[in-house]
Amino acid sequence: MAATVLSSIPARLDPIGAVASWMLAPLVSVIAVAYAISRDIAGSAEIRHPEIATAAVLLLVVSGTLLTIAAHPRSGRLGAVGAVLVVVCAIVAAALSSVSTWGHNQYIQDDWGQLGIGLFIFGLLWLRPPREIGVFGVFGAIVVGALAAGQAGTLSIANTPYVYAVVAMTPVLVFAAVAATSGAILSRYSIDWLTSARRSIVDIEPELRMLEHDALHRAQLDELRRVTLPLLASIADRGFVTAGDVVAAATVSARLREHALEQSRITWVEGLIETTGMSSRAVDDPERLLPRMGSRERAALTACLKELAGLGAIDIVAARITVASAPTVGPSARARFEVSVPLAAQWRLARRTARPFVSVLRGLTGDVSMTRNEAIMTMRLGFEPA
Amino acid sequence: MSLGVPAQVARDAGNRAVAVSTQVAALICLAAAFVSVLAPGFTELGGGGRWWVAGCLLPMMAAMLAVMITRATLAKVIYVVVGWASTFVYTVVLLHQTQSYTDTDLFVVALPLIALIFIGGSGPDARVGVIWATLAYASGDLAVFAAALVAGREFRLDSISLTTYILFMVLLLFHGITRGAYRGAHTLMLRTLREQRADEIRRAVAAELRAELHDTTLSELAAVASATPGPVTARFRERITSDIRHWTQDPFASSSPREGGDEGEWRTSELAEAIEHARDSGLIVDVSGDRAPYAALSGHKRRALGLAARQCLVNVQKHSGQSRAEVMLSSSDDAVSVVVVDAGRGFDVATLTAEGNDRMGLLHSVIGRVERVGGSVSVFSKPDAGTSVLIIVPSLDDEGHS
Repeated sequence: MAATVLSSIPARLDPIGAVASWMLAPLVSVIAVAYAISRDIAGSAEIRHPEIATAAVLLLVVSGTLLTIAAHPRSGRLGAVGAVLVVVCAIVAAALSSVSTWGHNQYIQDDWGQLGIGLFIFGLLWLRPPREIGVFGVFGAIVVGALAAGQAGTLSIANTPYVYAVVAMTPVLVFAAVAATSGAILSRYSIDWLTSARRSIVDIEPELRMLEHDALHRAQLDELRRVTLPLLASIADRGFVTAGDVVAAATVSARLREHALEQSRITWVEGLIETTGMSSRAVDDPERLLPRMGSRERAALTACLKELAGLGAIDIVAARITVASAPTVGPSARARFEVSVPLAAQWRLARRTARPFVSVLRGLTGDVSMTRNEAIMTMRLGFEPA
Repeated sequence: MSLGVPAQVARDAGNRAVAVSTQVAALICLAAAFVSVLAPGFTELGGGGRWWVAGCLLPMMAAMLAVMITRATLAKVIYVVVGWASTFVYTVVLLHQTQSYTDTDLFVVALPLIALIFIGGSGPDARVGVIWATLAYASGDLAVFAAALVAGREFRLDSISLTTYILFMVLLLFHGITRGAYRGAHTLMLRTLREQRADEIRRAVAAELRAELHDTTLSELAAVASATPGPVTARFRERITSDIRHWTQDPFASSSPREGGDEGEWRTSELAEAIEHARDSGLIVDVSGDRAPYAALSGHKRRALGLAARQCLVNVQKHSGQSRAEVMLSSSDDAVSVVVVDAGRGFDVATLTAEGNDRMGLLHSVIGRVERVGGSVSVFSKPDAGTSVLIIVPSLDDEGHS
C-alpha cells in the first residue's frame, strides 16, 4: 500500500481535485518569479553579472511556463521528462543567480534560488508521484547547499559552510516535504475510497440482479399471460390443434421474436440518447464501436452531455455523434468518438461546465479535446473498444 | 485512472494533507535549526553551549509530535506556549553565543518562528488555520523581541518568517477556495455509473430471460405454428403444461414474499431513495436485512422512517469523518426497525439535549419525526467510538391493523 501511495500520481486518482487546483501552478510560478525580481532589485549592488542574473530570471520564467502549461486543464498531465525539465530549469536558474553575485553575495538567506526551486517542486504536487517529488527535493537541496557552502568566506556573516548549506537547503526540503506528504495523503485517501467504492458496487450486484430478475420475470409473465399462455393452455386442455391455433401461434411467435430482437439491440447508447434528450438518429456508428466503450468513460461522457444539456449550454437535440476506428500503430485497436453540438449559451459556460468531466475523461482515455468552431462545440476522445 | 472522489473524501483528504504536511515541515524547520546550531565551529564558546541552544528546541519538537499524534486542540495550545518559550530561550542563547549576529533578521532565528506559523495547517479548516497561524506568528515574534531585549541586540522583523507567513496565508486561502470546486460533477458521474451498471445488469438478466423464452415458449409456439390441425401427442401436451408451469410457478417468483408490488414500493420508498442519495454523494452504504416489512408499512410511517434514516446518513457524511455506513433492517410482530451505523468520530450523547448543540438534525429530523408517528429513537455513541442510531416504528396502526 505504502509503495502504491508513493508511486501514484494524485491527479490520476482525483482528476477533479487536480483540475480544481490547477491554478496552483501559475500561482507558485508568479510568486517565484516576482520574488526573484524583487530580490534582484533589492540586492542589485551585489550583482556583478547582470546578464547572468537576467538569464536566471528568464530561466525561472521558462520553468514556470512549462509547469503552468502542464497543469492547465487542457493538458492536466506532466511526464517524468517534463517534470525533470521544470526542476532542472529552476535549479540552473538558482545556480546562475549565485554565479551572478559570486564573491559579492552578502546573505545566503536573501537568495531567491532555493525558494524558486522549492516553489516549483511544490507546484508538482498533483502532477507527479510523492517519491519523485522527494527525489527532486533532495537533489535540488544538495545543489543549492553546495552552492551556498561554496560562497563561505565571502559572505558578511562569518560562519561555517555547513550552516550556509543548511540555510540554503531548508526551504527546498520544506517545500518538497509539504508536496510529497500532501500528495501521499491525497493518494491514500483516494485509493482507500476507490477500493471501498468498487467493492461496494460489486457487493450490491447480486441484490440488484435478484431485483431485476424479479421485475423482468413479472413483466415477461404479464406479457405472456395476455395471449401466449392462454393459447398454449387451451391446446393442452383440448388435446388438439385447430387451424386458428396455427395462425395465432405464428402471429404471437413472430411478435415475441421481434420484441426479443429489439430488446437485444438495446445498449447504453439508447440510454445516452434517452437521458440527454438527443435525437434517435444522432449516432453514426456503423462499426457498432460505441457499445464497447468502457463503463467509466461512458458514465463520464453521459454525465457531461447531460449536465451541458441540463444547463442549456448546448442544443442537445441537434447533437451529432460519429464513431469510427482510428488508425493505430501496433496491434491495439482504438476508436475515435466525436460529438458536435451547437452551442446554446456562451462558450465559457460550456467549457467551464465540461471542465471536470473532460479532466476525468482525459485521465481515463488520455486523449480528449474540446474545441469550438463558430457556434459548434466539438468534443473528441479516443477509446479502446472492450 | 478513476472518476475521482466525492466532496466529503476530498475535503477530509485536503485538510489532512495540509495538516500533516505542515507538521512535517515544522519538524524539518526545527531539525534544521537543531543541526545548524550544532555545526562544528558554530560558536566561540565550545561544544557544551551548542548543545544548550539545540536542546531548547527539543520540547517544541516533542509538542509538535504530540499535535501529530493526538490532533487535540489542547496539544496545539501547548505547542504554541512551549514554542513561545523555546523560541525565547533559543534566541537569547543563540544571540549571546554568536557575536556576528547583530540583529534578529536571521534565518536561524526565523526557523522556530516558521515552525510556529505552520501550526495553522492543523486547524480544522482554512479560516481557523489562518487564526492559529497568525496568533502563533505574533507570539513567536514577541518571543524574539523579548529575546533581543535580553540579549541586547537590535530587534528587526525578519523577512524570512514574514515571507513564509504571507505565503502560507495565500496557500491556505487557495486551499479553502478550491477544495470543493467541481465536486457536483463527481456526484453526477457516480450516479450515472451506477445507473448504467444497473441498466447493464438489467440487460444481462433480460438476455437470460430471452434465452429461456426461446428455449421454452417460442419453441412450443413454433411447433404449433408448423403443425397440421389435429390431435397433439401426450408428450407435447406435457411439454406445454411444463412450460406454463415454468413461467407461472418460477421458483424465484413464487418464493418471493413481495407479491403485490412490495418490491416496487421498496424501490420508490423514502428509505431506498435516502440510500441512493447517500451513495450518489459518495458514501458507501451497506444494506442488510429484509426490506419487505418496511415496504409493507403504511405510507406516513414509511416516509417518516425513510426521512429519518436519510438525516442519519447525512449526519454520517457531515460529522463522522467516514465514507462508509451500514443500514440494517429488521422487524418483529409489531414493529419495524432500522439501524444506521458508522465507525466514525462519534459524540457525547449527553450533549444532544444540551442548549445550543449542533445536532439539531438528529433532534428534529430524526427523533421528533419518528416520535410523531409513534416510534422511538435510541442513539448509541461515544467520542471516537462510532455512532449507531436505532429507529423503531410500530407496524400496526391504532386499530391494530398492519
